[in-house]
Amino acid sequence: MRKAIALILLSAVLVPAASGVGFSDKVKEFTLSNGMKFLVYERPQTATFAGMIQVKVGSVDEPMGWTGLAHFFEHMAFKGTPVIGTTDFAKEKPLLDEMDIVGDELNVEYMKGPAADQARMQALKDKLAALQREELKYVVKDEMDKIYSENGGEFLNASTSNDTTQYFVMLPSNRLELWFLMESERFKNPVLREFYSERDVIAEERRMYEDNDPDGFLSEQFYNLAFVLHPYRHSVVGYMEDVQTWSKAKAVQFFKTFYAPNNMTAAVVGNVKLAEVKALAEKYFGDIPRGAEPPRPNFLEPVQKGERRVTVKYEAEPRLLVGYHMPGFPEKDNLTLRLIGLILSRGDSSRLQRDLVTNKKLAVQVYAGANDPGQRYSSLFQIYALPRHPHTTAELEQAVYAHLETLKTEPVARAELDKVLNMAEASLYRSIGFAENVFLAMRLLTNVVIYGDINADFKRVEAMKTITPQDIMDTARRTFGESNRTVGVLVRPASGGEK
Amino acid sequence: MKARKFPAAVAALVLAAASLAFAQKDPRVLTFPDLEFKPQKPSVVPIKSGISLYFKEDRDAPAIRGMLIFKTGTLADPKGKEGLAALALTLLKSGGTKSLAPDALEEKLDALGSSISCSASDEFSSVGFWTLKKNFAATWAILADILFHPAFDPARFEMEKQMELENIRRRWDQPMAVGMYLYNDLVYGQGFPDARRTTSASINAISVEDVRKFYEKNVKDKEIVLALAGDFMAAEMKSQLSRTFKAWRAEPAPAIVLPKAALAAAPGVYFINKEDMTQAVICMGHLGINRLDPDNVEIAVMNFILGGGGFNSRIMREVRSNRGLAYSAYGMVQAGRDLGLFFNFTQTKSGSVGEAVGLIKSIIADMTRTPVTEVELTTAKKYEQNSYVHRFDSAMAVIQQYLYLKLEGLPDNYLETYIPRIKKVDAAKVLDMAKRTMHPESLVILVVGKRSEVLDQLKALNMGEVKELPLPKE
Repeated sequence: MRKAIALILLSAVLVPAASGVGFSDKVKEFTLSNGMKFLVYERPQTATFAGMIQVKVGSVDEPMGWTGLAHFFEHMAFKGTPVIGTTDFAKEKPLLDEMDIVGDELNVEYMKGPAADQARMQALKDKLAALQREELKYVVKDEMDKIYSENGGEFLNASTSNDTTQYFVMLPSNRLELWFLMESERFKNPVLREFYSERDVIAEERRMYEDNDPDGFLSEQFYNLAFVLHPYRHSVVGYMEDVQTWSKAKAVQFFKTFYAPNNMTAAVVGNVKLAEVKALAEKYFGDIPRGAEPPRPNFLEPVQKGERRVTVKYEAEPRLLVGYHMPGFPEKDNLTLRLIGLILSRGDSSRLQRDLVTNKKLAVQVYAGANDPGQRYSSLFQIYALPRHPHTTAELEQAVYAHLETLKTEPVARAELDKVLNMAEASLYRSIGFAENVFLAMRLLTNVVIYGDINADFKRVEAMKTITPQDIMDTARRTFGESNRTVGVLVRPASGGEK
Repeated sequence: MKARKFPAAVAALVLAAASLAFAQKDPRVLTFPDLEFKPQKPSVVPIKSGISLYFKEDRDAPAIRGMLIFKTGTLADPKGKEGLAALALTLLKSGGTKSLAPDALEEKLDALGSSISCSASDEFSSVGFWTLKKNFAATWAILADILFHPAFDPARFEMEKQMELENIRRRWDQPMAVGMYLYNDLVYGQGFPDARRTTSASINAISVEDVRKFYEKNVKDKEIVLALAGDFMAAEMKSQLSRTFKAWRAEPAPAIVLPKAALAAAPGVYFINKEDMTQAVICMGHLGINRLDPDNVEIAVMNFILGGGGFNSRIMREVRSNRGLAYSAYGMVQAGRDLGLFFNFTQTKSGSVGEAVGLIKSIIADMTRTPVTEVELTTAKKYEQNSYVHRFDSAMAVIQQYLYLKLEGLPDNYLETYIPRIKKVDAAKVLDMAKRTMHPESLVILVVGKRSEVLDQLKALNMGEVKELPLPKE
């Protein structure tokens, strides 16, 4: 047993107050010598705090054939350690190893596709199930959850997006050390137990959100088409074919590559004290050695040379997705397109809401916004709309295009710009209410991890104020061209199905 | 807590599982006292007879949020005009005021960066708002204008009506919604308040005059419960509110008649075919309890163990975690206005529907036969006790805890006695409650899925004839 104790250099950095408003006067930031960063927001109002660890790894970091692994590892990170989640790890471990051998054999057979030997597959599945039953004798089910729950943990969960993975919980404020212990252990000593049954859980999650949900069904095909090369093309949950063949080796390698302290940032928001957070951070996370910088997707999506279009048939009322490739942060067009999104669909008096929903009654819902499905790389400006019967997606599509054309040719009036900027400014202070500390933690982390600045969302609104009507026209012309467009439409099958 | 010592020799094995070898820390070495916690309270003051204000100042952000609650809701919908209360509340804002046309009103609110939203739930309706502190006066003036002088613009009425008609068309788009709506139909019976839903006929039967009358009868000059949280000075706020409501009569709202619930469908298995589904929706249960039930606190412990405690609950553990049959799986006895639902839910691939239904049924049955384990009981009780603090974790949350207590008629000491009551629950009590509230032999089971892949499994459950129901048009 090697006890890795790295030399800990705690560098407390008090972010200088920005000239305007922001988080920097309230949030303290420090970085351990291994590169793990902490954000601390002391909010003593109530006897609780939220802790969140964000790892800069999302589905965008998955190579082909490995889709869904970021999300899968997120699930596996709840399965415990050699101490948490087991009554006897020494007896459990050989069973885990044996399961992996069977699991790998099953994967090989599955990959033969139509030529796979179904009887052999079934036999291997049965063998896995038997081993799983044997393993369960030693498993203390979901003990991590149990320990958190007994200590008053609420909202315990994690989420994976295209860009990041985050783990969070709200706890009574006297449980700060428990949070540090649990979170550090899950990343220092993870045991990927119940791997194969959890794979089945993910398959059900996929069936629920992608295969049996009209929006998921359409969006998966839409992103597959909009991106030819860039990994924003695949969904967070991954392709069913990949889900069925994830191996333990792949999951471990994925974990080793991305779960380095220098790729992780934590936010602690609530009734805590900076000094205590610092001491505990050092105690529990300080001994993890810095890792290699994780590889990042190294693709430039090829310039699109013509409109792409997909129509999916599904038993639900029609919906429409339109996307245009757009530059990522920090290109100025990125910010301008955020502003354009607000002009088009933020608030009851926004252009699309007013014209298409309220006046023309073509749609019951319209959304337009930048940076979809992610913010780390060049992504899409997306419009999502639900037509109102008997209007069709085709009518709605043309009506949306008319608004995009107007943006190219008519300067936005000052009053309209001011209105939108006021909404953007006000939204900086809108709190969510329930689980407020958790959502604040998420905001801080997004600012720091994606945009590298604790005040990023405040500064963005300030920067938006410098965008001119001419800028908006220029950006609209550059972005909203037919050949840069992908259109996804969901309609019912012609037969009408069972309805 | 019981200590599980981890022999050092075994640690070498860990190398294979994790990339690095660390001393594994056992969270059981850390002990914490149970949280001794006195809930914060909001201030409560009368603005005038019939208008009470619950408030809590909070200067964390330069903003103010609030809610005006009216004692009316969808239960006041006349038969055949389901959707009236919701439309009336929506129109309150969307229809503009006598001096502000709808477009101008929305423009003004957006320019302030403020929001006002009006909605109806079953017994209560609310007008909520959020504003930056600096824009409070302007936002409040619009809100008061909406309350006192709504115009119910006919064009907007038409638009909101069309919107609801489209929502009805889209109701079955999500498989989960099919299950939930139609399960309520089965258990409560169509037409019972908890199962009522809008139809194109009921929406088309509503006129703008109906909307105006609903407002005049149930909202205008009726009593109000006000909730305010944020960055304001109490004295100033009180005098502002007194001025605003000087001319508001604040009379009691017409009483809502609450019919008695009775199980409408015969226990058994019901099936609805939806040909396109690869994953079926499963709803199981029957009627639940009244919210004033003498066990309305203690039941939380039972629910946590059955299917409300996430991964610590039997349903989640067995259906999802052990067998990988589902992503979503839960169940609980819910308290309702008359009777809530005893509701268990999961979604599983077509091929494992029979297994999932059988499993959940046996979990329910076991709850009624065998006492829960001490471990389960401890986890559930500790969770209730230590997580209680989260119910009071923002100024508005504190207000809402006390406000709904009053609105729902719970005893004044409900919040203070919550933890002591939880502490007293033992396995015998859980068993008693389970026997009283769960009837595994009388479950109403609804499955929505693909007939060719699901029906035979349901028949094989030997739970009587499987009754196939049509998917209603709306």
